[in-house]
Amino acid sequence: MGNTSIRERLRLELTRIIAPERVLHKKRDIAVYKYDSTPFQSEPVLIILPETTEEVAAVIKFAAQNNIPITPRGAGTSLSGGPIPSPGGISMPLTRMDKILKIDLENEFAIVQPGVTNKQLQDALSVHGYWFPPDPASFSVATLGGNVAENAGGPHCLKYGVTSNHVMGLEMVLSNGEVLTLGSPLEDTPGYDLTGIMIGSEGTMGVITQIIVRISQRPQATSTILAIFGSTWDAATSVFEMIRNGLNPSVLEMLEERMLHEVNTVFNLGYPDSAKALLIIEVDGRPEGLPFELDGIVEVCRNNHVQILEVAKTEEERDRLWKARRGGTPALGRLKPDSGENDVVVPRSKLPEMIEKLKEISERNQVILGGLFHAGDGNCHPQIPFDARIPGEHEAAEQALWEIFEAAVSLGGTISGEHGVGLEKIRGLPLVFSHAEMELMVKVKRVFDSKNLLNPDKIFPADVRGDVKEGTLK
Amino acid sequence: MNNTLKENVLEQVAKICCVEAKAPHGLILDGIKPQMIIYPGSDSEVAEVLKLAADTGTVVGIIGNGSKIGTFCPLEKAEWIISTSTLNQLPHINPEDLLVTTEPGVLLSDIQNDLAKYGLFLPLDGENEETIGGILADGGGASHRLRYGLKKDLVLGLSVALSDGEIYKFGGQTVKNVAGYDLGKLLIGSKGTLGVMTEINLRVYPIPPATSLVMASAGDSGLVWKAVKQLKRLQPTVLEVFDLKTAEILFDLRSQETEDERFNTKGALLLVKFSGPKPTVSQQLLETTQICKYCNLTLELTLDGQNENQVWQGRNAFFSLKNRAFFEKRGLKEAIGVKVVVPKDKTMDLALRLESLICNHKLNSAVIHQGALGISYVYVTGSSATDFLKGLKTLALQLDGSLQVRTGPIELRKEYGVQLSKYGQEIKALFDPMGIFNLGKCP
Repeated sequence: MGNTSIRERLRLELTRIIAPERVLHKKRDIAVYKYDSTPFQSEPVLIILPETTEEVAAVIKFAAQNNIPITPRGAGTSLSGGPIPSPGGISMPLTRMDKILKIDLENEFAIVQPGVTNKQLQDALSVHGYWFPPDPASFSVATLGGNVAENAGGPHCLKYGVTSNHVMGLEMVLSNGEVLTLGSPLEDTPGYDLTGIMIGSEGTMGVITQIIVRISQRPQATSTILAIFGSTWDAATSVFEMIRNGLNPSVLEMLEERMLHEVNTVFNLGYPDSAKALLIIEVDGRPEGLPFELDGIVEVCRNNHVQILEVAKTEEERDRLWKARRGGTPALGRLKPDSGENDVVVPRSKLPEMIEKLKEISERNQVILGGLFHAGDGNCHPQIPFDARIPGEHEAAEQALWEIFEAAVSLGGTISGEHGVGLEKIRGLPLVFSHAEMELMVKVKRVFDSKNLLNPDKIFPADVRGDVKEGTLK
Repeated sequence: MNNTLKENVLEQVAKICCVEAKAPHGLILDGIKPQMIIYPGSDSEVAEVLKLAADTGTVVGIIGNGSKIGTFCPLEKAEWIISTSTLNQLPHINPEDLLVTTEPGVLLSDIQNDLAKYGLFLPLDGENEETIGGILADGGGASHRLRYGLKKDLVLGLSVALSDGEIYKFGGQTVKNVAGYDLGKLLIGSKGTLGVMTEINLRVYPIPPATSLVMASAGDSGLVWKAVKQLKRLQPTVLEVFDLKTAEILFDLRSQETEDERFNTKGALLLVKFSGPKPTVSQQLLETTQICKYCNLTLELTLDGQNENQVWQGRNAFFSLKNRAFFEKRGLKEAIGVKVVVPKDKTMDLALRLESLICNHKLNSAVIHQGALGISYVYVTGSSATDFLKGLKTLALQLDGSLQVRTGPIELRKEYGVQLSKYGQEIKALFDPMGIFNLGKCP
């Protein structure tokens, strides 16, 4: 029986569970949902758009009976291949489940469906003077379900933490169709922290259908500083000195030399040729405290030979200072038609060394390599533009990215700070974990995904997945 | 286990690490007298002992210094006790990365002293003999959690020994880390039921540039809660409410009162603390004193950057399981300790109705409410304490909350304890297939 016949048979059966207009099967739909924001692609057998937890459960039960893998999906902004449909599997975008179910300001929580975008929640909270601190760069389109699945960070996570610090509970559907409720809006829920292990599990343990998020009062005021240095070493040293000295910036982003050069050229920012690194620093909180923090930051920058310091006094000036940071990736990316990147993380004191290693890797592999850093938490986004049509360039880029994994791990870091493992970093996971550790993780997955249906090809190398027997430790 | 087998096992354990063949000083944990107490000196010794226990089907109790054993669900059986107090190598502090790497048996007080040399601290509470491993296994949060988060938020990574004799490492040294599953989260608050932590990476914080602290009281608790509602908006680091008599004793606010006055349950005292840049903290202090004045509270204490050690020593005495001085003074020697959690917006409701309930039952009591969290800790003693407990549970449920007995008779801790959920049991079965770790304890 060919693929089309299987697809048609499944479609007919599923349209008994889900409204036909939400069971997508046409070529153009398959074409859209086979991608995410990486070069990976895989055609789903069907795309199902559930609107309720009950529909999610019904589809999963059907999939379990027919041994069809399921890949949950948000907006597809993943940079690691997590939403790429598992081979022969169903893609399940949760974007139709897009309601904010409850905002409780008094008890400082909100309950949202997974398809709510981060921006949607922020907008709903902002009118009340509240926010949800994790705000990844993709926040205007990325969904909260995706944010939870990847334990998203964002520029403000330096001061306010990552998604796992702000989620109090989840509702999930497991591969046996069971609807599992974890955590609650109350503090100190008894039991093991099962919510905690679900966050960042990349759709491999259950399909998230509701999220209880902790919300907090928005900072009253923000100040933005741009600092330009004659060396990335000075900039990186400034980063950990600021934090070490007890200053509490909410944002601390860095562009290194190559990326800064490109963004300066493209956007005509007028920075001198001696500019080798740029820091965007923000402090926030009550207005009376900001000058104190700004003074401390300026002092650290001056102690580290800062060349240019600008403090934004208006919203327009703030936007101008952020232009360089926002323009970094496209400016570097314009050099070649293709691009590789990753999101390794190192202890922040190792940033200067990591930047030196990036230079060495770039030279050794003869690749263009620029970088944007969430410097306050040591999270690096090295970017390697290449042209896949030119023999050897893709391979050189891949080799360089591999060496970046190795470099980060050798400095006490890890292979992913916020994008997740997905498909992209499976080969890197053994750099961080032993076979036994990965096996234990797979066994935990099987506790919740007893049918091994949910994103079964993600995160773990095939030999680990294949080795794992049901049941307990060895 | 018969005597011959016991001697063989004892020999085997003694080959691995230091063993005391009989419980020293008559150590009894939740009414259980263990056959021996084992002091492993390294992570590999822990792992070997755990494997031996699993292979011989021996039920083990896992403790640091044992200060948490008498709390919440009671230990049901323990043939051996494994104490991590000897896993106490000097912690490694990395001030540039705001990181401390420690073994579980290190005392929190020792870590804090070491961190202070670098102008750093861990936002955790603990008595002098509490180990960091025990504090983390106990879970939940500490007094400064409004600002610094929960205990699990401080743990960046850890190593754990399991009953297969292996050491597993999860997480790492960085705040951002999404490689693989964060299984270390399961250990925090696990009450020693999954395995033995052998190394922990903790996020530390710089001592804030400035702090301010206010205590204010009123004979009418409603006025105190009116102030609490407004103080929440100022985003304090700590916001707690004590019953007035307890506060007077903890913080040594009054001279000796009469026996009658000791048992008066009326009135409350709030404690609020701010931390951050000096101008912010000063402004928050000013606004706090204005709020307290507006609510007709009496200002008992104001600290603006001065040493707070005495305040925290006093406050932490409420939770002390070893230092009984507070309980003796308050007449709470054989008290039942309870933890109640309700929605945050019902904390005042709980507090005021609790005050009446205590009065009606003619009990002696001590209470702390974490005013912005919905968490309350209550001690009661008196002839109608068990009836009171039933009434308090009903009240908690009416307010959509829950109750657990934290300290007191074993039967009550069991009756008012928690059970593992279905998937909690499966996780337990995966990590502890023989079911030998801290039998009876429940996270």
